[in-house]
Amino acid sequence: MKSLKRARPRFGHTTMLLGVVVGLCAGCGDKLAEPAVLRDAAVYESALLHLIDSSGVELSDRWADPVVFVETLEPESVDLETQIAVVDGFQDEYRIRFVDEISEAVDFELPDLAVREGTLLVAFGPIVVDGDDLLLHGEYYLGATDAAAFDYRFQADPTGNLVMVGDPVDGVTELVVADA
Amino acid sequence: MQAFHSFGESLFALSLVGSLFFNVSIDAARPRIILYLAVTMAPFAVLGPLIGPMIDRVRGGHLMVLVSSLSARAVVALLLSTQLRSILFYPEAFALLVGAKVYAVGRNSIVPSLVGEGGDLMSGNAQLARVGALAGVLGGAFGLVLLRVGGAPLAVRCAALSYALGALAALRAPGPQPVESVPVATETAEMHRHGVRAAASAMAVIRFATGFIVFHVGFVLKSSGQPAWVIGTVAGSIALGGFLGTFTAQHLRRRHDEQQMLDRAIIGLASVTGLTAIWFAAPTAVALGLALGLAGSVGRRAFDGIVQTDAPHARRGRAFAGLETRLELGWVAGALIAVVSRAPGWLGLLGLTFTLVLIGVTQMLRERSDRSPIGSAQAST
Repeated sequence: MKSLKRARPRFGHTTMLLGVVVGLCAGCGDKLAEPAVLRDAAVYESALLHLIDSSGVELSDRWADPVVFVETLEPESVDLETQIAVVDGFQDEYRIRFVDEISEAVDFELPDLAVREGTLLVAFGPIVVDGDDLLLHGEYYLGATDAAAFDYRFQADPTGNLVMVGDPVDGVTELVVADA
Repeated sequence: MQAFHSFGESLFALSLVGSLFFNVSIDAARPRIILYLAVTMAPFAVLGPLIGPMIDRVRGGHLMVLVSSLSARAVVALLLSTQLRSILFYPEAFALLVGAKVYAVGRNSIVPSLVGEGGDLMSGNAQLARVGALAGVLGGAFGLVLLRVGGAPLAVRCAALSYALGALAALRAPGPQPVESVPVATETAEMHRHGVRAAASAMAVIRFATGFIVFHVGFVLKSSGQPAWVIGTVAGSIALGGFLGTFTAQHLRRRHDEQQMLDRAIIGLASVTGLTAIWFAAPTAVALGLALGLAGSVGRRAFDGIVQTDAPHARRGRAFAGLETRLELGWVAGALIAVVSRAPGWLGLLGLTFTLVLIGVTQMLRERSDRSPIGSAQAST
Protein backbone atom coordinates (compact mmCIF):
# COMPACT_ATOMS: atom_id res chain seq x y z
CA MET A 1 0.00 0.00 0.00
CA LYS A 2 2.86 2.28 0.92
CA SER A 3 4.64 1.64 -2.37
CA LEU A 4 1.43 2.37 -4.28
CA LYS A 5 1.14 5.73 -2.58
CA ARG A 6 4.69 6.57 -3.61
CA ALA A 7 4.19 5.42 -7.17
CA ARG A 8 1.27 7.75 -7.89
CA PRO A 9 3.06 11.09 -7.61
CA ARG A 10 5.98 9.75 -9.64
CA PHE A 11 3.57 8.89 -12.45
CA GLY A 12 2.16 12.41 -12.13
CA HIS A 13 5.60 13.96 -12.36
CA THR A 14 6.54 11.87 -15.37
CA THR A 15 3.33 12.81 -17.13
CA MET A 16 3.87 16.48 -16.42
CA LEU A 17 7.49 16.28 -17.54
CA LEU A 18 6.37 14.64 -20.77
CA GLY A 19 3.83 17.42 -21.15
CA VAL A 20 6.59 19.99 -20.82
CA VAL A 21 8.74 18.23 -23.44
CA VAL A 22 5.78 17.92 -25.82
CA GLY A 23 4.93 21.58 -25.21
CA LEU A 24 8.49 22.64 -25.97
CA CYS A 25 8.57 20.56 -29.15
CA ALA A 26 5.19 21.91 -30.24
CA GLY A 27 6.40 25.43 -29.59
CA CYS A 28 9.58 24.99 -31.59
CA GLY A 29 7.86 23.66 -34.68
CA ASP A 30 9.66 23.47 -37.95
CA LYS A 31 8.09 26.44 -39.63
CA LEU A 32 11.49 27.86 -40.54
CA ALA A 33 11.84 25.07 -43.02
CA GLU A 34 8.54 25.93 -44.71
CA PRO A 35 9.07 27.08 -48.30
CA ALA A 36 6.48 29.86 -47.88
CA VAL A 37 8.50 31.42 -45.05
CA LEU A 38 11.73 31.29 -47.05
CA ARG A 39 9.95 32.61 -50.15
CA ASP A 40 8.39 35.56 -48.29
CA ALA A 41 11.67 36.33 -46.52
CA ALA A 42 13.49 36.41 -49.87
CA VAL A 43 10.89 38.86 -51.24
CA TYR A 44 11.19 41.19 -48.23
CA GLU A 45 15.01 41.01 -48.25
CA SER A 46 15.19 41.91 -51.93
CA ALA A 47 12.79 44.84 -51.50
CA LEU A 48 14.61 45.98 -48.34
CA LEU A 49 17.92 46.18 -50.19
CA HIS A 50 16.30 48.27 -52.91
CA LEU A 51 14.63 50.61 -50.39
CA ILE A 52 17.87 51.11 -48.42
CA ASP A 53 19.72 51.93 -51.65
CA SER A 54 16.95 54.25 -52.88
CA SER A 55 16.83 56.20 -49.64
CA GLY A 56 20.52 57.11 -49.94
CA VAL A 57 20.71 57.10 -46.14
CA GLU A 58 24.01 56.62 -44.37
CA LEU A 59 23.12 54.21 -41.61
CA SER A 60 25.00 54.93 -38.42
CA ASP A 61 26.43 52.26 -36.14
CA ARG A 62 25.87 54.31 -32.99
CA TRP A 63 23.28 51.71 -31.91
CA ALA A 64 25.93 48.97 -32.06
CA ASP A 65 24.69 48.01 -35.57
CA PRO A 66 23.18 50.05 -38.39
CA VAL A 67 19.44 49.83 -37.74
CA VAL A 68 16.60 49.56 -40.23
CA PHE A 69 13.15 49.69 -38.64
CA VAL A 70 10.44 47.73 -40.44
CA GLU A 71 6.75 48.49 -40.03
CA THR A 72 3.88 46.53 -41.58
CA LEU A 73 1.09 48.51 -43.23
CA GLU A 74 -1.44 45.85 -42.24
CA PRO A 75 -1.34 44.48 -38.70
CA GLU A 76 0.51 41.18 -38.32
CA SER A 77 0.94 40.78 -42.08
CA VAL A 78 4.47 39.45 -41.54
CA ASP A 79 4.44 36.41 -39.29
CA LEU A 80 7.06 35.71 -36.64
CA GLU A 81 8.87 33.02 -38.64
CA THR A 82 9.25 35.34 -41.64
CA GLN A 83 10.45 38.19 -39.40
CA ILE A 84 13.08 35.88 -37.90
CA ALA A 85 14.24 34.78 -41.37
CA VAL A 86 14.55 38.42 -42.51
CA VAL A 87 16.43 39.49 -39.36
CA ASP A 88 18.75 36.50 -39.78
CA GLY A 89 19.28 37.21 -43.48
CA PHE A 90 20.75 40.63 -42.75
CA GLN A 91 22.68 39.76 -39.61
CA ASP A 92 26.09 40.62 -41.07
CA GLU A 93 25.00 43.95 -42.56
CA TYR A 94 22.15 45.64 -40.70
CA ARG A 95 20.06 45.12 -37.63
CA ILE A 96 16.52 44.76 -38.88
CA ARG A 97 14.02 45.69 -36.15
CA PHE A 98 10.35 44.97 -36.76
CA VAL A 99 8.35 47.57 -34.84
CA ASP A 100 4.90 47.51 -33.25
CA GLU A 101 4.63 51.25 -32.89
CA ILE A 102 5.95 54.01 -35.09
CA SER A 103 7.40 55.75 -32.00
CA GLU A 104 10.09 53.08 -31.97
CA ALA A 105 11.53 54.50 -35.18
CA VAL A 106 10.40 58.13 -35.37
CA ASP A 107 11.68 60.82 -33.03
CA PHE A 108 8.68 63.08 -32.54
CA GLU A 109 10.94 65.75 -31.03
CA LEU A 110 12.83 66.20 -34.30
CA PRO A 111 11.64 68.67 -36.93
CA ASP A 112 9.87 67.12 -39.92
CA LEU A 113 8.99 64.08 -37.75
CA ALA A 114 12.25 62.49 -38.84
CA VAL A 115 13.37 58.96 -38.01
CA ARG A 116 16.00 58.53 -35.30
CA GLU A 117 19.40 59.75 -36.40
CA GLY A 118 21.29 57.35 -38.65
CA THR A 119 18.37 54.96 -39.09
CA LEU A 120 15.76 54.22 -41.73
CA LEU A 121 12.10 53.28 -41.46
CA VAL A 122 10.71 50.89 -44.05
CA ALA A 123 7.09 49.83 -44.38
CA PHE A 124 5.66 46.85 -46.24
CA GLY A 125 2.20 45.82 -47.30
CA PRO A 126 1.30 42.14 -47.46
CA ILE A 127 2.67 39.92 -50.23
CA VAL A 128 -0.05 39.45 -52.85
CA VAL A 129 -0.11 36.44 -55.19
CA ASP A 130 -0.92 37.46 -58.78
CA GLY A 131 -0.91 34.33 -60.95
CA ASP A 132 2.70 33.13 -60.94
CA ASP A 133 3.93 36.49 -59.69
CA LEU A 134 4.22 37.95 -56.21
CA LEU A 135 3.44 41.63 -55.66
CA LEU A 136 4.71 43.75 -52.81
CA HIS A 137 4.22 47.39 -51.86
CA GLY A 138 7.19 48.90 -49.99
CA GLU A 139 8.08 52.37 -48.71
CA TYR A 140 10.93 54.09 -47.04
CA TYR A 141 10.53 57.00 -44.67
CA LEU A 142 13.19 59.41 -43.41
CA GLY A 143 10.89 62.32 -42.54
CA ALA A 144 7.51 63.80 -43.38
CA THR A 145 8.92 65.30 -46.60
CA ASP A 146 11.40 62.57 -47.39
CA ALA A 147 9.58 59.37 -48.20
CA ALA A 148 8.99 57.24 -51.29
CA ALA A 149 6.95 54.20 -52.25
CA PHE A 150 7.52 51.41 -54.75
CA ASP A 151 5.50 48.51 -56.08
CA TYR A 152 7.53 45.36 -56.71
CA ARG A 153 6.83 42.30 -58.82
CA PHE A 154 8.68 39.03 -58.28
CA GLN A 155 8.83 35.87 -60.38
CA ALA A 156 10.55 32.53 -60.03
CA ASP A 157 13.45 32.09 -62.46
CA PRO A 158 14.10 28.72 -64.17
CA THR A 159 16.17 27.58 -61.19
CA GLY A 160 13.29 28.33 -58.83
CA ASN A 161 14.85 31.44 -57.24
CA LEU A 162 12.68 34.51 -56.88
CA VAL A 163 13.86 37.51 -58.88
CA MET A 164 12.55 41.05 -59.12
CA VAL A 165 10.84 41.61 -62.46
CA GLY A 166 11.71 44.90 -64.14
CA ASP A 167 12.24 48.12 -62.23
CA PRO A 168 10.05 48.84 -59.21
CA VAL A 169 7.18 51.16 -60.07
CA ASP A 170 6.77 54.36 -58.08
CA GLY A 171 3.82 53.98 -55.75
CA VAL A 172 1.80 56.08 -53.35
CA THR A 173 3.04 56.36 -49.75
CA GLU A 174 0.58 54.94 -47.23
CA LEU A 175 2.58 55.36 -44.02
CA VAL A 176 1.31 58.56 -42.43
CA VAL A 177 3.55 59.22 -39.46
CA ALA A 178 1.86 62.45 -38.37
CA ASP A 179 -1.24 60.44 -37.42
CA ALA A 180 0.68 57.90 -35.36
CA MET B 1 29.68 29.98 -7.56
CA GLN B 2 27.27 32.86 -6.97
CA ALA B 3 29.74 35.33 -8.53
CA PHE B 4 30.11 33.25 -11.68
CA HIS B 5 26.34 32.79 -11.89
CA SER B 6 25.61 36.51 -11.54
CA PHE B 7 28.38 37.43 -13.96
CA GLY B 8 26.84 35.06 -16.53
CA GLU B 9 23.35 36.39 -15.82
CA SER B 10 24.38 39.95 -16.69
CA LEU B 11 26.06 38.82 -19.89
CA PHE B 12 22.98 36.83 -20.88
CA ALA B 13 20.62 39.72 -20.07
CA LEU B 14 22.68 42.10 -22.21
CA SER B 15 22.88 39.64 -25.07
CA LEU B 16 19.07 39.74 -25.28
CA VAL B 17 19.46 43.27 -26.66
CA GLY B 18 21.09 41.81 -29.77
CA SER B 19 18.74 38.86 -29.96
CA LEU B 20 15.36 38.32 -31.54
CA PHE B 21 13.75 39.55 -28.34
CA PHE B 22 14.32 43.15 -29.40
CA ASN B 23 14.35 42.69 -33.17
CA VAL B 24 10.99 41.14 -33.98
CA SER B 25 7.64 42.77 -33.35
CA ILE B 26 6.29 42.08 -29.88
CA ASP B 27 2.80 41.47 -31.24
CA ALA B 28 4.12 38.74 -33.54
CA ALA B 29 6.24 37.18 -30.79
CA ARG B 30 3.62 37.47 -28.03
CA PRO B 31 1.90 34.08 -28.53
CA ARG B 32 5.31 32.38 -28.50
CA ILE B 33 6.43 34.23 -25.34
CA ILE B 34 3.14 33.39 -23.60
CA LEU B 35 3.51 29.73 -24.55
CA TYR B 36 7.04 29.51 -23.19
CA LEU B 37 6.27 31.42 -20.00
CA ALA B 38 3.40 28.99 -19.40
CA VAL B 39 5.74 26.11 -20.15
CA THR B 40 8.28 27.69 -17.77
CA MET B 41 5.77 27.30 -14.93
CA ALA B 42 5.30 23.59 -15.54
CA PRO B 43 8.80 22.42 -14.56
CA PHE B 44 8.35 24.06 -11.17
CA ALA B 45 5.29 21.98 -10.53
CA VAL B 46 7.48 18.98 -11.34
CA LEU B 47 10.80 20.06 -9.87
CA GLY B 48 9.53 21.97 -6.85
CA PRO B 49 8.44 18.92 -4.87
CA LEU B 50 11.57 17.03 -5.96
CA ILE B 51 14.25 19.54 -4.99
CA GLY B 52 13.43 19.56 -1.26
CA PRO B 53 13.48 15.77 -0.78
CA MET B 54 16.62 15.56 -2.95
CA ILE B 55 18.39 18.03 -0.67
CA ASP B 56 17.05 16.20 2.38
CA ARG B 57 17.65 12.61 1.47
CA VAL B 58 20.19 12.21 -1.31
CA ARG B 59 23.82 12.39 -0.24
CA GLY B 60 25.24 15.44 -2.00
CA GLY B 61 21.74 16.35 -3.18
CA HIS B 62 22.34 20.04 -2.64
CA LEU B 63 25.38 19.91 -4.92
CA MET B 64 23.45 17.93 -7.49
CA VAL B 65 20.80 20.66 -7.80
CA LEU B 66 23.35 23.45 -8.14
CA VAL B 67 25.82 21.66 -10.40
CA SER B 68 23.13 20.26 -12.69
CA SER B 69 21.29 23.58 -13.05
CA LEU B 70 24.52 25.49 -13.77
CA SER B 71 25.85 22.81 -16.15
CA ALA B 72 22.54 22.69 -18.01
CA ARG B 73 22.58 26.47 -18.33
CA ALA B 74 26.14 26.39 -19.69
CA VAL B 75 25.16 23.87 -22.38
CA VAL B 76 21.94 25.70 -23.35
CA ALA B 77 23.74 29.08 -23.44
CA LEU B 78 26.34 27.60 -25.77
CA LEU B 79 23.58 26.36 -28.08
CA LEU B 80 21.80 29.70 -27.83
CA SER B 81 24.91 31.62 -28.92
CA THR B 82 24.47 30.20 -32.43
CA GLN B 83 20.72 30.66 -32.50
CA LEU B 84 20.07 34.18 -31.26
CA ARG B 85 18.28 34.92 -34.52
CA SER B 86 16.57 31.61 -35.08
CA ILE B 87 13.17 30.24 -34.06
CA LEU B 88 15.02 28.04 -31.52
CA PHE B 89 15.89 31.21 -29.60
CA TYR B 90 12.60 31.13 -27.66
CA PRO B 91 12.71 27.56 -26.27
CA GLU B 92 16.39 27.91 -25.44
CA ALA B 93 16.05 31.30 -23.76
CA PHE B 94 13.17 30.01 -21.65
CA ALA B 95 15.09 26.81 -20.84
CA LEU B 96 17.80 29.13 -19.48
CA LEU B 97 15.14 30.89 -17.45
CA VAL B 98 13.96 27.59 -15.96
CA GLY B 99 17.60 26.79 -15.11
CA ALA B 100 17.95 30.15 -13.36
CA LYS B 101 14.84 29.53 -11.28
CA VAL B 102 15.96 26.01 -10.32
CA TYR B 103 19.36 27.41 -9.34
CA ALA B 104 17.69 30.12 -7.22
CA VAL B 105 15.44 27.58 -5.47
CA GLY B 106 18.40 25.26 -4.86
CA ARG B 107 20.73 28.02 -3.62
CA ASN B 108 18.18 29.61 -1.30
CA SER B 109 17.27 26.22 0.13
CA ILE B 110 20.91 25.33 0.78
CA VAL B 111 22.13 28.54 2.41
CA PRO B 112 20.26 27.87 5.70
CA SER B 113 22.04 24.52 5.98
CA LEU B 114 25.40 26.10 5.23
CA VAL B 115 25.12 28.80 7.88
CA GLY B 116 24.23 26.15 10.48
CA GLU B 117 22.26 26.35 13.72
CA GLY B 118 23.99 29.36 15.23
CA GLY B 119 24.65 31.19 11.98
CA ASP B 120 22.84 34.29 10.83
CA LEU B 121 20.81 33.47 7.72
CA MET B 122 20.22 37.14 6.96
CA SER B 123 23.95 37.95 6.99
CA GLY B 124 24.79 34.83 5.02
CA ASN B 125 22.34 35.68 2.28
CA ALA B 126 23.36 39.36 2.35
CA GLN B 127 26.96 38.35 1.77
CA LEU B 128 25.92 36.16 -1.15
CA ALA B 129 23.79 38.99 -2.56
CA ARG B 130 26.70 41.46 -2.35
CA VAL B 131 29.06 39.11 -4.13
CA GLY B 132 26.38 38.39 -6.73
CA ALA B 133 25.51 42.04 -7.27
CA LEU B 134 29.16 43.07 -7.64
CA ALA B 135 29.76 40.28 -10.11
CA GLY B 136 26.54 41.28 -11.90
CA VAL B 137 27.67 44.90 -12.29
CA LEU B 138 31.10 43.76 -13.50
CA GLY B 139 29.40 41.33 -15.90
CA GLY B 140 27.22 44.17 -17.19
CA ALA B 141 30.21 46.42 -17.88
CA PHE B 142 32.14 43.56 -19.50
CA GLY B 143 29.02 42.65 -21.50
CA LEU B 144 28.75 46.13 -22.99
CA VAL B 145 32.35 45.80 -24.24
CA LEU B 146 31.64 42.31 -25.60
CA LEU B 147 28.52 43.54 -27.42
CA ARG B 148 30.61 46.21 -29.10
CA VAL B 149 33.48 43.86 -29.98
CA GLY B 150 31.83 40.56 -30.87
CA GLY B 151 28.10 41.16 -30.62
CA ALA B 152 25.50 39.16 -28.72
CA PRO B 153 26.85 35.67 -29.65
CA LEU B 154 30.18 36.40 -27.96
CA ALA B 155 28.38 37.70 -24.84
CA VAL B 156 26.30 34.48 -24.62
CA ARG B 157 29.39 32.30 -25.13
CA CYS B 158 31.08 34.11 -22.24
CA ALA B 159 27.91 33.62 -20.16
CA ALA B 160 28.12 29.87 -20.93
CA LEU B 161 31.73 29.85 -19.77
CA SER B 162 30.75 31.69 -16.60
CA TYR B 163 27.96 29.17 -15.83
CA ALA B 164 30.41 26.30 -16.43
CA LEU B 165 32.92 27.88 -14.02
CA GLY B 166 30.04 28.31 -11.55
CA ALA B 167 29.28 24.58 -11.83
CA LEU B 168 32.93 23.78 -11.12
CA ALA B 169 32.88 26.15 -8.13
CA ALA B 170 29.67 24.47 -6.89
CA LEU B 171 31.52 21.14 -6.86
CA ARG B 172 33.93 22.66 -4.37
CA ALA B 173 31.19 24.16 -2.17
CA PRO B 174 31.22 22.90 1.43
CA GLY B 175 28.57 20.37 2.38
CA PRO B 176 25.73 21.40 4.65
CA GLN B 177 26.26 21.01 8.36
CA PRO B 178 24.61 17.92 9.80
CA VAL B 179 21.34 18.74 11.53
CA GLU B 180 18.95 16.77 13.64
CA SER B 181 16.16 15.15 11.69
CA VAL B 182 12.86 16.98 12.18
CA PRO B 183 9.45 15.47 11.39
CA VAL B 184 7.82 16.83 8.26
CA ALA B 185 4.79 17.82 10.35
CA THR B 186 6.99 20.14 12.44
CA GLU B 187 8.41 21.78 9.32
CA THR B 188 4.93 22.22 7.86
CA ALA B 189 3.58 23.67 11.09
CA GLU B 190 6.43 26.19 11.21
CA MET B 191 5.88 27.23 7.62
CA HIS B 192 2.22 27.88 8.38
CA ARG B 193 2.94 30.29 11.20
CA HIS B 194 1.31 33.66 10.73
CA GLY B 195 4.58 35.60 10.47
CA VAL B 196 6.11 33.23 7.93
CA ARG B 197 2.96 33.22 5.81
CA ALA B 198 2.72 37.02 5.85
CA ALA B 199 6.41 37.34 4.94
CA ALA B 200 6.06 34.77 2.16
CA SER B 201 3.05 36.64 0.75
CA ALA B 202 4.94 39.95 0.79
CA MET B 203 7.97 38.36 -0.83
CA ALA B 204 5.75 36.74 -3.48
CA VAL B 205 4.32 40.21 -4.27
CA ILE B 206 7.85 41.58 -4.77
CA ARG B 207 8.76 38.63 -6.99
CA PHE B 208 5.52 39.15 -8.95
CA ALA B 209 6.38 42.83 -9.43
CA THR B 210 9.89 41.88 -10.56
CA GLY B 211 8.59 39.52 -13.26
CA PHE B 212 6.05 42.10 -14.39
CA ILE B 213 8.49 45.03 -14.53
CA VAL B 214 11.24 43.10 -16.33
CA PHE B 215 8.92 42.21 -19.23
CA HIS B 216 6.69 45.28 -19.23
CA VAL B 217 9.53 47.81 -19.08
CA GLY B 218 11.54 45.73 -21.58
CA PHE B 219 8.69 46.02 -24.08
CA VAL B 220 8.18 49.74 -23.36
CA LEU B 221 11.90 50.42 -23.84
CA LYS B 222 11.75 48.64 -27.20
CA SER B 223 8.61 50.52 -28.23
CA SER B 224 10.16 53.87 -27.36
CA GLY B 225 13.17 53.10 -29.55
CA GLN B 226 15.76 53.15 -26.79
CA PRO B 227 19.29 52.15 -27.85
CA ALA B 228 21.08 49.13 -26.42
CA TRP B 229 23.08 51.07 -23.84
CA VAL B 230 19.89 52.37 -22.14
CA ILE B 231 18.48 48.85 -21.84
CA GLY B 232 21.86 47.69 -20.50
CA THR B 233 21.92 50.52 -17.96
CA VAL B 234 18.42 49.61 -16.71
CA ALA B 235 19.52 45.97 -16.30
CA GLY B 236 22.65 47.15 -14.46
CA SER B 237 20.62 49.38 -12.15
CA ILE B 238 18.66 46.32 -10.92
CA ALA B 239 21.95 44.66 -9.92
CA LEU B 240 23.19 47.88 -8.31
CA GLY B 241 19.91 48.20 -6.37
CA GLY B 242 20.38 44.63 -5.13
CA PHE B 243 23.86 45.50 -3.91
CA LEU B 244 22.77 48.70 -2.15
CA GLY B 245 19.81 46.82 -0.65
CA THR B 246 22.09 44.61 1.42
CA PHE B 247 23.38 47.71 3.27
CA THR B 248 19.99 49.43 3.39
CA ALA B 249 18.52 46.30 5.00
CA GLN B 250 21.09 46.44 7.81
CA HIS B 251 20.22 50.09 8.41
CA LEU B 252 16.45 49.46 8.37
CA ARG B 253 16.77 46.47 10.67
CA ARG B 254 17.99 48.71 13.48
CA ARG B 255 14.76 50.74 13.38
CA HIS B 256 12.07 48.36 12.15
CA ASP B 257 11.11 44.73 12.48
CA GLU B 258 11.32 42.46 9.46
CA GLN B 259 7.64 42.63 8.51
CA GLN B 260 7.81 46.42 8.52
CA MET B 261 10.87 46.20 6.28
CA LEU B 262 8.89 44.09 3.83
CA ASP B 263 5.99 46.56 3.87
CA ARG B 264 8.34 49.46 3.27
CA ALA B 265 10.02 47.62 0.42
CA ILE B 266 6.61 47.18 -1.25
CA ILE B 267 5.48 50.77 -0.65
CA GLY B 268 8.87 52.16 -1.77
CA LEU B 269 8.70 50.14 -4.98
CA ALA B 270 5.11 51.30 -5.52
CA SER B 271 6.19 54.96 -5.21
CA VAL B 272 8.90 54.70 -7.85
CA THR B 273 6.63 52.61 -10.10
CA GLY B 274 3.98 55.33 -9.85
CA LEU B 275 6.51 58.02 -10.70
CA THR B 276 7.70 56.03 -13.72
CA ALA B 277 4.08 55.54 -14.83
CA ILE B 278 3.53 59.31 -14.82
CA TRP B 279 6.80 60.16 -16.53
CA PHE B 280 8.37 57.32 -18.47
CA ALA B 281 11.86 58.15 -19.71
CA ALA B 282 15.31 56.59 -19.60
CA PRO B 283 16.21 58.18 -16.19
CA THR B 284 12.96 57.02 -14.52
CA ALA B 285 13.38 53.54 -16.03
CA VAL B 286 16.85 53.40 -14.46
CA ALA B 287 15.38 54.64 -11.14
CA LEU B 288 12.73 51.92 -11.35
CA GLY B 289 15.43 49.30 -11.94
CA LEU B 290 17.30 50.60 -8.90
CA ALA B 291 14.13 50.55 -6.76
CA LEU B 292 13.32 47.04 -7.96
CA GLY B 293 16.76 45.72 -7.01
CA LEU B 294 16.59 47.56 -3.69
CA ALA B 295 13.11 46.27 -2.81
CA GLY B 296 14.02 42.71 -3.78
CA SER B 297 17.18 42.80 -1.70
CA VAL B 298 15.64 44.45 1.40
CA GLY B 299 12.62 42.13 1.14
CA ARG B 300 14.82 39.08 0.90
CA ARG B 301 16.87 40.05 3.96
CA ALA B 302 13.68 40.66 5.96
CA PHE B 303 12.17 37.38 4.77
CA ASP B 304 15.32 35.49 5.79
CA GLY B 305 15.20 37.11 9.23
CA ILE B 306 11.58 36.02 9.78
CA VAL B 307 12.23 32.48 8.59
CA GLN B 308 15.30 32.23 10.83
CA THR B 309 13.27 33.28 13.88
CA ASP B 310 9.87 31.69 13.23
CA ALA B 311 10.75 28.57 11.26
CA PRO B 312 14.17 27.40 12.48
CA HIS B 313 13.59 23.79 11.45
CA ALA B 314 11.60 24.35 8.27
CA ARG B 315 14.25 26.64 6.82
CA ARG B 316 16.11 23.56 5.65
CA GLY B 317 14.99 21.05 3.11
CA ARG B 318 11.69 20.33 1.45
CA ALA B 319 9.33 22.81 3.10
CA PHE B 320 11.60 25.74 2.34
CA ALA B 321 12.26 24.52 -1.21
CA GLY B 322 8.50 24.38 -1.73
CA LEU B 323 8.16 27.95 -0.55
CA GLU B 324 11.03 29.12 -2.76
CA THR B 325 9.35 27.43 -5.69
CA ARG B 326 6.15 29.37 -5.07
CA LEU B 327 8.14 32.61 -4.96
CA GLU B 328 9.67 31.81 -8.35
CA LEU B 329 6.19 31.03 -9.68
CA GLY B 330 5.18 34.52 -8.53
CA TRP B 331 7.89 35.91 -10.81
CA VAL B 332 6.63 33.87 -13.76
CA ALA B 333 3.02 34.91 -13.07
CA GLY B 334 4.03 38.60 -13.09
CA ALA B 335 5.90 38.14 -16.37
CA LEU B 336 2.95 36.29 -17.89
CA ILE B 337 0.50 39.06 -16.97
CA ALA B 338 2.84 41.69 -18.47
CA VAL B 339 2.96 39.81 -21.76
CA VAL B 340 -0.72 38.84 -21.93
CA SER B 341 -2.14 42.22 -20.87
CA ARG B 342 -0.60 44.22 -23.76
CA ALA B 343 -1.17 47.28 -21.58
CA PRO B 344 0.32 50.64 -22.65
CA GLY B 345 3.46 51.54 -20.68
CA TRP B 346 1.87 54.01 -18.28
CA LEU B 347 -1.26 51.91 -17.71
CA GLY B 348 0.65 48.73 -16.86
CA LEU B 349 2.86 50.58 -14.38
CA LEU B 350 -0.10 52.41 -12.88
CA GLY B 351 -1.95 49.11 -12.46
CA LEU B 352 1.08 47.64 -10.72
CA THR B 353 1.36 50.74 -8.50
CA PHE B 354 -2.25 50.37 -7.31
CA THR B 355 -1.76 46.65 -6.73
CA LEU B 356 1.39 47.23 -4.68
CA VAL B 357 -0.16 50.07 -2.66
CA LEU B 358 -3.28 48.00 -1.99
CA ILE B 359 -1.31 44.98 -0.83
CA GLY B 360 1.24 47.05 1.11
CA VAL B 361 -1.41 49.05 2.97
CA THR B 362 -3.52 45.94 3.66
CA GLN B 363 -0.46 44.18 5.10
CA MET B 364 0.37 47.20 7.28
CA LEU B 365 -3.19 47.45 8.60
CA ARG B 366 -3.32 43.72 9.30
CA GLU B 367 -0.04 43.94 11.14
CA ARG B 368 -1.25 46.86 13.18
CA SER B 369 -4.32 44.91 14.21
CA ASP B 370 -2.13 41.88 15.00
CA ARG B 371 0.01 44.04 17.27
CA SER B 372 -3.02 45.07 19.28
CA PRO B 373 -3.61 42.88 22.39
CA ILE B 374 -6.69 41.22 20.86
CA GLY B 375 -5.03 40.72 17.48
CA SER B 376 -1.87 39.15 18.86
CA ALA B 377 -3.94 36.75 20.95
CA GLN B 378 -5.84 35.70 17.81
CA ALA B 379 -2.67 35.40 15.72
CA SER B 380 -1.00 33.13 18.23
CA THR B 381 -3.91 30.71 18.31
